[in-house]
Amino acid sequence: MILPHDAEQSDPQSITQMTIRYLLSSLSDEELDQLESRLQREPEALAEFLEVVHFHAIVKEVVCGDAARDAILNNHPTASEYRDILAMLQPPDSVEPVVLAEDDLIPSAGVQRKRVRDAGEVRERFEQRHRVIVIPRALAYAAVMAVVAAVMLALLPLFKHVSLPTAGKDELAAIEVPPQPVAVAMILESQDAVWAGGTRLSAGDILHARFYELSEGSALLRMNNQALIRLEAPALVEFVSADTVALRSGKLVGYCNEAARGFTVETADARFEDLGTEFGVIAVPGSGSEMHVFDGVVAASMVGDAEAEQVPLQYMAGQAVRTSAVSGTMQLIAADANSFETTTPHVLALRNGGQGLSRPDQADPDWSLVAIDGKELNRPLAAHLFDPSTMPKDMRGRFLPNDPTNSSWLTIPFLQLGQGAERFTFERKIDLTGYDPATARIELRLIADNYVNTITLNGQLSYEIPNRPVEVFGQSFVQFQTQVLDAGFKPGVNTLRVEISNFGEFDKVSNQTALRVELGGLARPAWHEQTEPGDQGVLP
Amino acid sequence: MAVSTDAIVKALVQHRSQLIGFAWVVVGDPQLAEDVFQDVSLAVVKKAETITDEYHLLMWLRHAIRLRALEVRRNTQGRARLLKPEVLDLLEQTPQAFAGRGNDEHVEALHACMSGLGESARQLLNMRYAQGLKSGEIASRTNRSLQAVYKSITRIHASLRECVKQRLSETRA
Repeated sequence: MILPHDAEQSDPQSITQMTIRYLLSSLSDEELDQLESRLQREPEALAEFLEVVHFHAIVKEVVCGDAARDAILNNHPTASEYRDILAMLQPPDSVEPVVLAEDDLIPSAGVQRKRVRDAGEVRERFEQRHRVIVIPRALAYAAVMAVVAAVMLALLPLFKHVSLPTAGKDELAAIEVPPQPVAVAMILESQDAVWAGGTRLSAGDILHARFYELSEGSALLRMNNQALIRLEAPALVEFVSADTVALRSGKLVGYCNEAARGFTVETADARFEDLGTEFGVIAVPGSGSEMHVFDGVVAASMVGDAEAEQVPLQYMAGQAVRTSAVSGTMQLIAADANSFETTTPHVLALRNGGQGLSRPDQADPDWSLVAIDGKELNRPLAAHLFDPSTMPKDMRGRFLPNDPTNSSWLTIPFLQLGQGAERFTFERKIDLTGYDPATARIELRLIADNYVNTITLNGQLSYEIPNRPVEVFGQSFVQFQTQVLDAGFKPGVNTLRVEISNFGEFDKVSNQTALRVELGGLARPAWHEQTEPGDQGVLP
Repeated sequence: MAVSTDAIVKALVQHRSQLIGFAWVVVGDPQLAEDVFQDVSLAVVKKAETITDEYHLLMWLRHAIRLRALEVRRNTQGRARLLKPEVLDLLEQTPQAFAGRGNDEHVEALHACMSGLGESARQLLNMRYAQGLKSGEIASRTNRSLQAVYKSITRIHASLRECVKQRLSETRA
């Protein structure tokens, strides 16, 4: 191998060179100052430093690898330890496992702690008797290390009297576990998302205030300030707080409703603050960043420009800015939605059943009764509030109490209606105008007295109770069941129907029926499909 | 919920070289870095019950490696200047430090690349890592100046790294 002489590798000021020389303890104070400054200022320099250090550690391991393996084999392992090591060295599945007899390994029997006197001799004897399997060194080394680690942990109690080479081992055990950073966001949806560093995350998992690296796929997240963001891999992002993320590299789209106003995305050179909008950000280390406004207004300023940070420039829908890491300036360009593979879904404005109602004679503006025992009514009748607190004492505690700020029970509107009937169908409309129906997803949380029989969307059955439940005396209605609708939506107005069944013959006084329903939904705006590709490009 | 022993073993194996590398940065010596790693490997079991998940485990390991390495460093003489605490904070917490990926691939490629090294280069690496000699000792054993030893080791590492990159990109292609 010819050793290199190219400019980068012989440049004493390159991060690679300085890192190697740091590890060799040959950096001057001045050079160390320079290294520290670059590590603090340049994420790429930090990454390079870590990579060089990691590589050095691997080189050391490889150089010492054969010696380490020999040391393990020559370190008088017991027969069972030796067997474990050899067993770990077997390739997986496809190769027939080799079972070792104690005699294969132990030169002299009858000793309480039997030892292998000569690992070379044992190996020779072993290989004479069995097929020699060639396996990658990496696998072998990893396997040996795994066994060493496992044996070390298993034998922990025996290490009580091992004296460490330096003082402070007691203090080591007392090192506190750093507290978990605060929770700042939750994953709503994960599309083939692979997170670096062995982090396994899926929908429902909480994200904390720290760095995350998305290697593959994309993920939709809800920040704790209610902003929605979609991250596209590859992306490196630091969640600073519930309303601020620092995008080190990659792309994200943020959607902020009024509650999430003020959500901020920081890049290495710029700061973008949402003023009630939807926007996309691209960060390319070393090149700069772009921010595209799709809806509403975003305030933008360059990092380090104190004046601009005080009074940031505002950009409207259709506008975008590109920053230059070199000149420290911001240039206006046209927004290009197609720069982003996916768009962030909007939260659909869906009111829960009975939300805001407080009196039993109040009609719900969204839900109507449309059929009784499968027979359509001549016209829909608005569902009325049902107040369980007005029921006999022994009954009222069996219903989840109304919560006007969130949701309340609904029932049929007239006393005489539905007398003796068993099934009641409630309906509401869901307007998806402006949204891509293929991306709509609605989560229904329901309780029914007595049970939800079917759910239909635009006439198509979405849910049917698998078995009619058996009536239970004293049944309670306090636990929501959840159903998710993610197919069957159409453009414009959609019709959602929930049919509930009541045990026995309905009677307004003695045998009530009621529905409690909460719902939440997401859908991506249709503008993504309509936007023409921009011609001003994205950062290289 | 406490992290399991299996998860601890897995993390120690998977992140071994990153952790040793981090210890090396702090303690300034590859052999002492190995000792630090072993000390922390033993201590982590005692902390298992207070560690909630894999990420938390890695946080603790890196933090413990740092503190232990600083203690070991205090007890050794003649060390060069250490990176300042703010930079060590960055090294301890930056996400790349938690990405224990590709070790096996690297090791495999590195083996192939090392077979292409000349005898003197291999000897130099052996003296440095297997025998644990300091650069000064290597210089006197090989009758070379300290600067020449630094330069050689630097060039060997650079060439190995380039070779590994090349091999990995060929393999992936």
